[in-house]
Amino acid sequence: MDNVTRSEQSRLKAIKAAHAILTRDGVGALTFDALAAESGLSKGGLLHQFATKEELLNALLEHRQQFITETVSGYNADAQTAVPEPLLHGHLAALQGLSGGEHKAVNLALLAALVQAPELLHQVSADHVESLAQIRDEAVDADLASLRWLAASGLLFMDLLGWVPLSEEDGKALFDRLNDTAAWHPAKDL
Amino acid sequence: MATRQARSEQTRRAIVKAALVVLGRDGAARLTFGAVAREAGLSKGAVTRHFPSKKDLLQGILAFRAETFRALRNDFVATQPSDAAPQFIVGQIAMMRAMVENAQSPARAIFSALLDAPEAMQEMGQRIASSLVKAQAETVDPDLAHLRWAAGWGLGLLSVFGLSPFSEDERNQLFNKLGNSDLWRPLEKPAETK
Repeated sequence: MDNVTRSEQSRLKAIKAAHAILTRDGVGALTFDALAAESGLSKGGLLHQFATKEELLNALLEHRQQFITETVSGYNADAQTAVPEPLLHGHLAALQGLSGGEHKAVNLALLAALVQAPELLHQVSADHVESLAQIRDEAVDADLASLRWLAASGLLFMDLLGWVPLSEEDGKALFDRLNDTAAWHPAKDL
Repeated sequence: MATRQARSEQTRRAIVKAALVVLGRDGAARLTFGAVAREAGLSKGAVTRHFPSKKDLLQGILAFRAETFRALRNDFVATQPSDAAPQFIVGQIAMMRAMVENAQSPARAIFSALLDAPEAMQEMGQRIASSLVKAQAETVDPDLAHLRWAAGWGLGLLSVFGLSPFSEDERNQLFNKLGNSDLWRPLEKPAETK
């Protein structure tokens, strides 16, 4: 195994350990000591990999963005998903993915960065600008498409902040509704 | 002449306002009793007499903001035409909009401070969850009400956190559409009986 692969593997291991800490102990608990204990990697090795807390948080944010990008392009590559607004649906699929199960931890990066390194959020903001420009561009009704994306984002925020936890059942019903093209463009309006 | 109680209430408000100034200017990490006392022109002892712990201070800030937003919502409802019964959700959307537009409320710093105060956070969550229940109760389509409410919070929180992709004009237009029940009514589907 070459060094690049080894380094990439320990990076992923560290990211997974960070997700476990964020989920179990909250955003305040993410320290290099906790990360070393959780991942089984040495603190020196971790500092070599990330150098600072900001770099670690940035790696978590990049991991989150990668999940979104891959879900969106995966959705669009799937020939069976012939919908009028494929990018909106791809983003809804990504947000639904982040709303529950193992990927919920991936989304906690946003909360951690918000509290500990808000300056890192410029990149997230830039990604949002790019995504929404594309979503609005392909949309039948740009504002309505934006509101569907915002509703999904709002559901995630409410869950992330612990204010209105999204149950699996509610999450499924609400995302089904967001994905239902006919429900947002009633036939009589066309 | 102001009663002792009224004076005490005035001091509480002055402390909360000073704390909001510190939060907005210096961020959540710099919110200390010393900094708040300096800003309010009071002794540290006077501040801790009113708010013995940081948790108490945060709860004081949240109560003050809840009161401010309630007043904003009531003003808004009063300006609505009286022929149509104002919907609860329309007032909620107006409140979310005020949260974004009110430069006096350092919402982002308050959220950062809140994340370190689980109890205050929980109280806020209860208020927000009950607003969802009310918004759902006034409609035939609770899921759509949930999504409309969530879109309002999505737009509000993304803006407050500096994550919104929308220009000011776009944001205004989206808040207008969120607040306009005539646009939402055609999308309503009566809830299926479970």
